[in-house]
Amino acid sequence: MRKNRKSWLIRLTALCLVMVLLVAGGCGAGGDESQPDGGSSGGSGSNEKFKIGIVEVQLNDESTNRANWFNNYLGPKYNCEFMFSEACTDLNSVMTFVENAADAGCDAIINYYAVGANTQQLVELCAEYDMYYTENGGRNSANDAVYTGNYENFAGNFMADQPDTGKLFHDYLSETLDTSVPHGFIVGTGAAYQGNAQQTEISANMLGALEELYGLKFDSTIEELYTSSAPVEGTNDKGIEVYCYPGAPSTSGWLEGLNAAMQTGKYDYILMSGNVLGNIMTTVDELESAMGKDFTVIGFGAFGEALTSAMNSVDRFGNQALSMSTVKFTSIVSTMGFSKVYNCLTGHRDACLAENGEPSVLLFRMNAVTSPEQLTEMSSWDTDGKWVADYDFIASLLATEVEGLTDAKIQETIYAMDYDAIKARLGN
Amino acid sequence: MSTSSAAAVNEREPRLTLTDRIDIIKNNRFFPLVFPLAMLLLLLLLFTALTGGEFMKKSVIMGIFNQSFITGTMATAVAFIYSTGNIDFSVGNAMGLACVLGALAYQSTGSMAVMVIVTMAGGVLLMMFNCTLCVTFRVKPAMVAIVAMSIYSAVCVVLVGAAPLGVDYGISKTLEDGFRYGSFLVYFGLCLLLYHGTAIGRKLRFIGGNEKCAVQTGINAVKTQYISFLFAGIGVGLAGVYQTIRTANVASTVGTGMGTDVMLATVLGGMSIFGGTKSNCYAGLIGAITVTILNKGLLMVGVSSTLIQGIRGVVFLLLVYLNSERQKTLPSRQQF
Amino acid sequence: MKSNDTKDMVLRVAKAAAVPLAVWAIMQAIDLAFAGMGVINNSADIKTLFRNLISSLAFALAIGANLNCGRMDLSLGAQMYAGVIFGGNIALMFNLGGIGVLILSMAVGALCGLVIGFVFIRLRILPMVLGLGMTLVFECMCFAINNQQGIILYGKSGVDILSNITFIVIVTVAIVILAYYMFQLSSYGFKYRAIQGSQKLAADAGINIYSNCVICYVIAGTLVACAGVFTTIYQGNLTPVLGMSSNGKVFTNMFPMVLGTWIGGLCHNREGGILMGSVTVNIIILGLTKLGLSNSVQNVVIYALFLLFVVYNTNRSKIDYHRARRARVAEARKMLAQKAAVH
Repeated sequence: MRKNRKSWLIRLTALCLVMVLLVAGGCGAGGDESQPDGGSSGGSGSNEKFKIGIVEVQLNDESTNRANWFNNYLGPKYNCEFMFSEACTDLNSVMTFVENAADAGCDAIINYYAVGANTQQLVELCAEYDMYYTENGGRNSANDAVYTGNYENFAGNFMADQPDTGKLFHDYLSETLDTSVPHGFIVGTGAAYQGNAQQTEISANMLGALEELYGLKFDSTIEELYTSSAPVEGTNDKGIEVYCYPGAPSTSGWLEGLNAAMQTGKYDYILMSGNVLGNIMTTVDELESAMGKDFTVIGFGAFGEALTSAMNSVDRFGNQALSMSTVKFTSIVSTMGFSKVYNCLTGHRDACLAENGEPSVLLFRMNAVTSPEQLTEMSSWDTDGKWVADYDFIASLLATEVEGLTDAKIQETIYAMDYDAIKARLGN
Repeated sequence: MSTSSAAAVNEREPRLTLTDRIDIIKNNRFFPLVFPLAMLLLLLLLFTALTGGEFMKKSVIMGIFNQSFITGTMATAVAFIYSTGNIDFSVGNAMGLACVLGALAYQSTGSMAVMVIVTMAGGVLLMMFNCTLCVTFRVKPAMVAIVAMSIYSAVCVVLVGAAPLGVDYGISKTLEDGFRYGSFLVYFGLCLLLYHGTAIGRKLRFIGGNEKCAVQTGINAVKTQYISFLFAGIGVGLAGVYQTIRTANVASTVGTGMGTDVMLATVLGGMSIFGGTKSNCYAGLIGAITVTILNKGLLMVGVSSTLIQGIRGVVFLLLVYLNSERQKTLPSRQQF
Repeated sequence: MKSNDTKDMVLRVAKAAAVPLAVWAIMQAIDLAFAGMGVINNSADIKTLFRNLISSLAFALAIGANLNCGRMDLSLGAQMYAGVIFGGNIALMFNLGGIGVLILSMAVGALCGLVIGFVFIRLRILPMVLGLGMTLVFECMCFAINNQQGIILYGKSGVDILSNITFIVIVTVAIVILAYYMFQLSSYGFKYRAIQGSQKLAADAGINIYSNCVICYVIAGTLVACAGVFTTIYQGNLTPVLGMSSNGKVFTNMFPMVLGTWIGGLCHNREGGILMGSVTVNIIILGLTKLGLSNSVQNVVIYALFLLFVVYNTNRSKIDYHRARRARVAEARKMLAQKAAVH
């Protein structure tokens, strides 16, 4: 009997502990709320405290870096609090987070899970809760109505400059590729077939770069190629071998499929739109040995261990295992999203509108990395204590700090942040 | 022991131990309902206190109901399947495929009524397919679920393509109010009536308790299980409609992972996933609301989204432990 | 007598090998006809096959370990993540190389199994329910370390051995032999099989069902961590997941486990059967990828085959019954016809 009583006491104690844990969580959060608001007194234009919800599409080193920048660098300066979602994989989960964020007192949403077809629903949902909205995506036929629909809470979007990114691939390929020798290309279209904005942009850029480089014309449209959920050959009038390969390494059989495509012997250039460089390099290396063929890998990457390893490895032909990668600086992209909603929240929505009065799309430039030295240099930037988007840069995008700030001026300031400008800013 | 003290013990009236008393409480027929409800209320009060009363705002309460709707409907539906001892965690993907079929029908006809009908019919047919494999071909339900969820999700990807399939946004918003609440109340009421007020519910529970014995008493197990999957299918279809009108579009990933969420809600609501005589059809709804309160509450008090999942796991295990009978041997069930 | 034993053994091995060989022949013919290349074309294919084989074999054995005793552990995927991410990162921190990564991952996997086993025998809630809860907790823990990056093996020094075919074969053989010994020959295995027959009778006979159960969880945890290491070396990295997504690993590896158990029945060796089942499924996957199908279509094909197999396997006795009945009827008809001819 004593044993049973003891067992029940343990159960009750455990229950109490969980309750204490929950209470402690709540108190901890309360502590977060009372972060120093020196920002308000430090020259930022508004004394009002704002809370902003951020929708994450995946939780990785990039999102950790972003959260660090928002919470520890930007938040205290501008008296803002941020609330981050779990990894949202569909519209329902984004809507649930938006509703919860509204209940938690958020004033605006910055959405990194951008699918054009979802924009209207989310803008309208935010409108119901009096929240401003912006997303990391572009303007397309699926969300055009939102731009023309006079939604007062829509601050416009922000994204990578597509033609500029395409130019990075084009320039690299035109510098290194001998078009007189036959080459074949595998274009990893990633989740573009599921509407992933970033991978759609990069896939389109890569295919567009090939079109320009060879002066070829695909039999299908570029959109048809990157939206296919099945691997598809990009047949064209010049007879260049192009193979669009969708999917991600997390899917069973994806790596084996890539392996099989490479084994056909038709392709020697691997262009990846998703951040999968760390995943494919083992396969590439093994096939180089097995087939005695040199593969050139180019793709989108994110600062981190995987990119560093890929860029620093040398293949068995003595070449750099990863030839070129495009990267972005998280703090710059985050500042763009923040400036969109912060300008609206402080009563300067006009700074988010283009000349025609419609919400604008702010564009940032991706950067090309082609050598380990360059990568080492760039990856040391945009970290804690050395943010690319520092207080000066942030202030230059906020209407509370710059009188008469316009969308065009904001765009101009962002464009000015290229490799050389950042290098000059950060010293080395 | 001395003779006198032994006599004193004999003279003492039999007394109930603490465990006996707890067992009496736990064996009370209302305990499975009261305990999850009490936990739900406890969480509600806790978060109300932590948020300084913000948690009791009308918009928050409505939000909790709105977010629990789809999982709650699905969990109510699968109670019919779980009662018979069958486990089906492919319901999320079945709902997803039903949504896709409904959205495709809308895109062909432009009619929301057709979308609703096709989604409902899709839900029923897919669950009937699962039932046929389980009941007619005698394949273990967990095995059917694994196969079905993989096939349904793959078919969704093939059918949907790049852009989500859109349906009329304005009508969807209109349907979200009257239609959604009305249809849910009708469905839930019907389930309560059938499950707790008719022979169908009794047969389902009996089969879940002991199928052989149930068959010996003249119950047609095959027919009864088909009925259970039929009602589950209606619920899956209805949840599919709610899902479509909530988002006004259908993506290829719709319903992924929802099968385990439904299972989690059902268990949290106080029902065993292996059914039996203590089964009920309201546990899933209570569980779904509890999970939503926990998620919303933790987010509102500022707990990081990553930590929320861990806390959800610990709370889940603890509540299930407190609500379940401790067996003398280790619980097991042949699934394959 | 001895020759009979040898003959019997050869027959069993032949039966076990017949399934993957038949499947390879079919896939080879399909691939040659439609893709112009075979299932296995070069050393890269062999490496891919072996690496995937060891992963699915270890995972299938782990699933089967608990499943045979009526415990479906849905947290195996999360244990795999925890084992590889925690153990692997510790090994990398101390520069222990590929073997260190493998051993420490397996050790952490075993620890995860121990925790789950202990929680299970203490709480005694349904294994599937416990699996859901523990999945939530383990997935959360995996996120908490290494800046949410999980583990990256690509480019790390000393881990090349994990891609070495000889090493993979040695580990594969070791796993099968150890699993066979543990579950079939050791005193633990004897008790395990007694519990598999009837937990209550085993307990009444004096077998400690609790320790046996915990050991079973430990073995499963060790095996999934081993599987995870070879998956990670192939994919280059292992990124933690949330929302019970790790359950997918359990579902994916169910086909080799079920097929392997059936083959094990043919050759009277469950572990050997699971090895052959894993080979078969991986040949199918490798063969399908050569056709350039989308992942979705591949999944539909694989799971349709799985479905057909389980329907056949479940209803085999009915099919046999009907076959025997038809034979009986045919025999009777033949006899009647003979009688009629005589008269």
